[in-house]
Amino acid sequence: MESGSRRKTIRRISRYLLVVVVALALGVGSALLGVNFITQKDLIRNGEWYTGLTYGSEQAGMYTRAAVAIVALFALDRSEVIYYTADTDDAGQLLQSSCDYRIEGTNLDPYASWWSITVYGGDNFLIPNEQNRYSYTNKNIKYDVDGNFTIFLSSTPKTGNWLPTGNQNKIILMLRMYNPAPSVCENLDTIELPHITKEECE
Amino acid sequence: MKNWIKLVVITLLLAAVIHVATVAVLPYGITLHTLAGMQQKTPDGQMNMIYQAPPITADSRDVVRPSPDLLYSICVYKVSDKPLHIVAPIPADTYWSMSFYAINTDNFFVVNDRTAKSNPADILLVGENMPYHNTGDSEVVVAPSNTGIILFRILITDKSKLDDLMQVQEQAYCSLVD
Repeated sequence: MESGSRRKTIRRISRYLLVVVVALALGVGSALLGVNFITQKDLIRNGEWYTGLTYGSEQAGMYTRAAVAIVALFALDRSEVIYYTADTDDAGQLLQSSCDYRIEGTNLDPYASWWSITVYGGDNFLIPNEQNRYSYTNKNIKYDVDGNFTIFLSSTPKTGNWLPTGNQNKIILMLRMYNPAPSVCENLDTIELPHITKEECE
Repeated sequence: MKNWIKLVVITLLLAAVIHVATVAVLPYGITLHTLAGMQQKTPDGQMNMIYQAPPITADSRDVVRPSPDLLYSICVYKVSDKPLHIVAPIPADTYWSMSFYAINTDNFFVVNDRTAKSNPADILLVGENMPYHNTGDSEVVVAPSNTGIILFRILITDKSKLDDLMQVQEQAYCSLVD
């Protein structure tokens, strides 16, 4: 009789434990998926590049704040900087170190007081390389005779503007535009941004 | 059968509560964790002191997606009892900014080389509803949360100017005032 009641108690406790474990998995998992889904939905896209309107802003909702904390902690408000991110080429394929890419763009100086293009690994940190080269800015990039620029993304050395990509499964590019011109803020989805084209893969 | 339906409903309700709590707590948790790490970099591991970070490299892993073109300084603030006085010289011919973040990641105030009212920039950061006495010409900024971070950014336009810019960077300070 006693062992029967003990068995019932153990069964009940096990059931509640199962409820808590499943609820935790569902709650945390759906929260992370939700943060990703809702912030993706609110992004403004311009070719391969995308940007969030409310990164760092006091108008950001709780999903955006969570996303900022994960991938863009201490981002500045868009009145100060516009952050464009790209993780695919112009064909929509994920950027990775096993392939070489060409980033071709027109001079972006009319858009901002200064701008930069930086390459990160899939962990959102800079990729170690012997040259300690992680970015180009409008202060150090080499332009061609037409005033346009080309940056080579590759794990092997290239002449010209070369950003080493090391050995990464995923590559993330970030284009920062500091003190953006009003026309940029009003035309985030249509301004002319650099194109990322795959050249060859290992 | 009814018991199973009850259990499923309880599981889903609990999952919904955990979902909302996770999303709401995530920014605070990540920010607090990051601030704790940065605070440890000041000489005594204290808040309300400035930390001049070295130039960014692949070894810089305190904050995601750091810009390698910027010199960063950091002041983790706590203005629950006293205001914080921040003074930072603005270098010539380059981008400079001082940005204030609340604990929930909101960037609630920015001043840059174009908008600063003085050089050096002079700010008095106060908590909400905090009585304060502005003895100088400091610009008063109200922090929406008692704890947060101030980030100073200086653009390295040319590596040959790095030493000069680092000297300017070192002159910035933040300290509590009575």
